[in-house]
Amino acid sequence: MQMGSASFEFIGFAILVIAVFNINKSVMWRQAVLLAANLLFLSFFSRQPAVWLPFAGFLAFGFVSLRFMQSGPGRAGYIPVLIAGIAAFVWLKKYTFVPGAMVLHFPYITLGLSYIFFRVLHLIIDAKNDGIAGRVSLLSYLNYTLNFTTFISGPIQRYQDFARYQLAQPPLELDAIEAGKAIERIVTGLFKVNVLSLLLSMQQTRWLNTLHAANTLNTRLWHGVVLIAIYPLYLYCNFSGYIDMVIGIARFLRIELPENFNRPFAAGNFMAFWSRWHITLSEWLKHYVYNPLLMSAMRRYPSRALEPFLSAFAIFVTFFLVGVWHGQTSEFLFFGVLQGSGVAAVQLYQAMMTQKIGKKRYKALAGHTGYRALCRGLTFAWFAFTLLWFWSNWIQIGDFIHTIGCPALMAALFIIFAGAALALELWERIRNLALGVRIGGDAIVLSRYTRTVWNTAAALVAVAVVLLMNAPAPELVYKAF
Amino acid sequence: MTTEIIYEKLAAAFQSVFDDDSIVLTPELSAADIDEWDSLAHVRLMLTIEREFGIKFSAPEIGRLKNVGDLSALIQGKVK
Repeated sequence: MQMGSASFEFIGFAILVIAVFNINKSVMWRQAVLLAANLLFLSFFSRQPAVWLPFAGFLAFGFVSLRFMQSGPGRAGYIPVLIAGIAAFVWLKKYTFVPGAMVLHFPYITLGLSYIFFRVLHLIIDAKNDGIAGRVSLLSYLNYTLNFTTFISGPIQRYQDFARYQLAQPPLELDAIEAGKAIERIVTGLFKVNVLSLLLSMQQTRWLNTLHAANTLNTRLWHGVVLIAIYPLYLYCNFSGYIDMVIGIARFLRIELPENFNRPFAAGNFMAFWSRWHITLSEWLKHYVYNPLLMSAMRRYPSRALEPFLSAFAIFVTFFLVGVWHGQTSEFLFFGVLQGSGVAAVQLYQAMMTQKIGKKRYKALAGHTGYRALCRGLTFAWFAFTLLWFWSNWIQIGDFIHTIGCPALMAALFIIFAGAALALELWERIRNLALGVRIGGDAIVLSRYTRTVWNTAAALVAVAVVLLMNAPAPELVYKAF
Repeated sequence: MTTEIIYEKLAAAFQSVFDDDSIVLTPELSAADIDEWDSLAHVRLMLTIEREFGIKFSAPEIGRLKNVGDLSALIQGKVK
């Protein structure tokens, strides 16, 4: 069964859970059904208890630590508990620097562990700081950490928000309009993952297969452009599509999940990009890494002139951790360095420009259409370039650069920058134009009728593509993390 | 400390951090309403408020804040 993807099996499972879940509105029923659904969902990945043991151990550690932090005297062990949690995660995920002799030498499941790690740390930190009202029951803890809608790829929801919906009596209202919106999200997600990301992934494979046959500068250049530029689009459709689906499904389970994407390619710089891409991860790291790190640095070195540098340092560390979280290899470490450098560079550039030309003039410059378009292009090109370390290993990257050559690579990056600047500006203009066409104050493209036509067409195309392809649903990239 | 005094002191902190005397605080005011209210300015603001009220914020407390109303309530709880 293809439960770890945007498959029809997954949707069928979700429909079944939704039907049973909504039979009774009591909190106990909803909690019991959700737990049963979560455990059933896990059982699709393996029914051998032994492969779940380390996973269960990590969950048990999280619950005991949470209770420990919620009891007054237990707080003395806060730092050791945090260190133990991070060490356990690194150990179970077999980071390359963990000595081989120390890791567990039997097969076990780590699926979803990265997201559970964030949830468990958040619970421990917030519990220690009185951020969680009341004792967290084992049932609520398990439903929060194992929630099947967010288990594979997030989003990372705060416990307080999850509990607000899960323990609400009566449950969150679900009328025909809300149900319609939830179905729209599911259809949009299905279309993004099963049609757009599938087509983009097929294109990438096709161009990769012909890479070594590219023997003229022109063909090498276009291979560089397509292979670098296509991946961010594929990743966006794949990741955000699945998130759309689970947001829609969770709504039927009377839970509102946080948004994880907000038109990321419309971002005017790399820092803004990360506030629109994988939002719940960025927010988590901002709250629990960037803020405390910068606050502590600024308390230690209270100087207004130093602040941009301290912030750039805190940003670098934060986004370096984004990379490290993604994977256990040196490629992901380098991916983290590139993310951190990109965001830190934007921070320093903004501070420098504000100092050089003044706040007002810099604000005017940042608002200029041409400047904004160029910044968008640069953001896209940088992200696409850094993703090379996300989807390839060092040998593949070396082979790719060697095959197309450095001059063609430079030219390809320039074409991606210029092309993205133009295409994204054009997209923004078309979008604004479309949103500007209104009847009775409402945009026609957002009207019920237009959305119904679009969603019907998207659903039909998605079903047709899945049936015609007769292939498994595309793998979810973020399932691996 | 009364809510009025908290808002008065908060307004002074906001005006100093954002270098803008025209800022008027309302409970609904949030980072989305002030262009310069980015991550760095947020931390700068929190440290200024800490000094102004003689209190200390934790990371989860800062993370939970959604607007000035939340901030005022948090301060109220700490200065009691």
